Amino acid sequence: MSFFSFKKNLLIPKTLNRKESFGVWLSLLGSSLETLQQLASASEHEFLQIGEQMQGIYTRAAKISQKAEHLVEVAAGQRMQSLIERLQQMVGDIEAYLSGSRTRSNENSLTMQGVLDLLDHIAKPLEGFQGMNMTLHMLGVSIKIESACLGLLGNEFINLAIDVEKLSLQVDDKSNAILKHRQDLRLMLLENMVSLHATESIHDEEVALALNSTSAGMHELEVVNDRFTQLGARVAATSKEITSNIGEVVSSLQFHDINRQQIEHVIEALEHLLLALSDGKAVAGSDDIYRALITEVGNVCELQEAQLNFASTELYSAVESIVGNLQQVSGKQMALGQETLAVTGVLDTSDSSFFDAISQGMSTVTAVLTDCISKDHEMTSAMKGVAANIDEITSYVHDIDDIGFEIVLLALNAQIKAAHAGERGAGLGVLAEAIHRLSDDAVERTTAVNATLTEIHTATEQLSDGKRAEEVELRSKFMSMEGALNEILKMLAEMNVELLTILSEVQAMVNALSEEVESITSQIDVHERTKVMADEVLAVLHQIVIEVRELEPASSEFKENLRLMEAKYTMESERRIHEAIANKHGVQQLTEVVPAQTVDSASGSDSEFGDNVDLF
Amino acid sequence: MAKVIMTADDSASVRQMVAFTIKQNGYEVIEAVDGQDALTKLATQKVDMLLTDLNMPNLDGIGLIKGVRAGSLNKFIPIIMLTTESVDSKKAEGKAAGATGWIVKPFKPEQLIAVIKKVLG
Repeated sequence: MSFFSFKKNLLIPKTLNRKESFGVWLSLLGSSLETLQQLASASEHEFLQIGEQMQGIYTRAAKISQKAEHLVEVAAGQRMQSLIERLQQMVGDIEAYLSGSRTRSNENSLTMQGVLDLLDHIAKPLEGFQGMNMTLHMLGVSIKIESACLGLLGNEFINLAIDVEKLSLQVDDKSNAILKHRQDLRLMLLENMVSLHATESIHDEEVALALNSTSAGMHELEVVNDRFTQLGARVAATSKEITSNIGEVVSSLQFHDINRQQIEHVIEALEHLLLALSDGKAVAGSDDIYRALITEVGNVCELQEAQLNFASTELYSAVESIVGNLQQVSGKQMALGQETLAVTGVLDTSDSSFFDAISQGMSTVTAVLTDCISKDHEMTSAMKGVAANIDEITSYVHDIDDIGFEIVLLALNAQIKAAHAGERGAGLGVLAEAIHRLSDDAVERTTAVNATLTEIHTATEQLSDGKRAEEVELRSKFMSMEGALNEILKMLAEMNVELLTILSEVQAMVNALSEEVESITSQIDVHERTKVMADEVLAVLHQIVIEVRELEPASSEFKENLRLMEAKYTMESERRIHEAIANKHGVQQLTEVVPAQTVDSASGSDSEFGDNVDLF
Repeated sequence: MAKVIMTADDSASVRQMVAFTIKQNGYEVIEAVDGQDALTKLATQKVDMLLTDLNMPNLDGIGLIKGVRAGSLNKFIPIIMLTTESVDSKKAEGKAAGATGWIVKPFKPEQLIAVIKKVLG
């Protein structure tokens, strides 16, 4: 939209007289002055609005950067370090558990193998009890035969024979029971050994799985930590870049004030010219006065055309720079948002993050440890069963031991009765002697079996006690590891929620900022509108210059005047334009007409703050 | 406690940019629309620094500096000219009136902040 419609057909017919020409120029310049006055003040409100919007964008971009920094802190900060340290500790604990578990399994296996060997070792003494039973039975029969030969005298030996038979049966029962228990125990041990080997294998696999899972989780956390640390550096770099973009916008926004002053200078020059043209003397005066005036018209218009052209171009570039830098701010935040999502490992905020994989790994560790403890408990129960079985065998052996004592008493009784029978009882004496020897044999066997059983008992007791102690220790360690794992899982869950919340916020903020920047920048057209207005005035000035120069070419006086006119400008840009016009007209070197007072700057060199800064 | 800086400029957009720049760096800002407005406010308000334009209606920057130096409350504060004027003669005039430094527009925010930090110590 233009404040003014573009003026066409500016050419003044050559047939116009002096008065008519001045009238046309006055009209055109007057109209241009109005345009310039509007141009000088029209964009103030818009620049203020852009300034406010820029501040809003900056504030929001800063908040996004803060959010991104918070995200980095959540994913790579103290809590993450603590998690990594805990996981390192856990890997150490699991490795120690694995090693201890393997050692314990080997020891258990050796103990059980030792018990099996001992059971084999007592096989012979136990079989001896069967032989003893047979001998007792034979002795009982022999006593009966001998008793029969003795007639009435032999009646006393009948009861003895019956007792021997009874003992024979008891020994038979006990030895059979012992052999059965031995066999059962053997089978139990073999089954336990098979189970132990199987458990060892499962333990190894599961603990290795837990170890791998924990190590993988820790590695993942370390990778994440590194990635987020890099993201932190990227966030800082982006913030710096955005600050630089905003700095450029701040610089560019000042061009409104600079442009206003430049236009005011053009207005001032044209107002002077209008006054001169309005003076009736110029129209009615001599040819010299007329020629001088139209020369001045050409000079002033040519210079102001250049100044206005520069001012207009500079403002246009400044606004383009504002738009470009604001778009860059949005683009950089968008890129940062995408990078944040990529680093976090989620495609959008509805997806799960890398934390879920780690959490699953941690859950696996907990499950495996629970299973390990359960299997250890089963082994402890089995060892208790072995110990109970041994206790039962031992009680049977003690029974046989008692039977052996009764055999001794029987043997003594038989020997006494045989002695009373005299020579006729000699045969029974021999039998009594045999019973006595059998009792000695029984004592010898029970002693041997007892010694071995004591060894077995001791070993199984140790195994059982050791298992109980291990179980308590393992349970304690497991509780501690489970507690640590649950804490890690809780922390991971919290971090996950926090991370996804922040990500969601960052995404929403980035999207909103992007939309707002797009909306703001698409509405910025102040440079286009001011350019149209400036172009309209420029066309007028240019046309006047062409017409005037046709009437009266630029004279050497104009070249001289360039030096004088330069002193009127205070802006560096204005002087540069002036110099360009001078060069165009062949004035090689412009010197300052008004000698400048030198200013000593306290800083000694402008470079510390820039060429545009002086500290006195 | 944040230091207080006055910015005197007849351009609202320049005041806006100066205020934005220095507020971002933790300073408090007082705005004045011209030299006279600044002088009136400085008569009752103690500030740590003055940033002023040169060409302003009612009272220009040089007049403002002279007024501040002749006053009492802010007599010794650092004063930086912030202007489009770049000729040495004007700078000399500013220095003679009591300006501490001279920044030609357009300035970059980091330049302004560096100068403020240097001057305020």
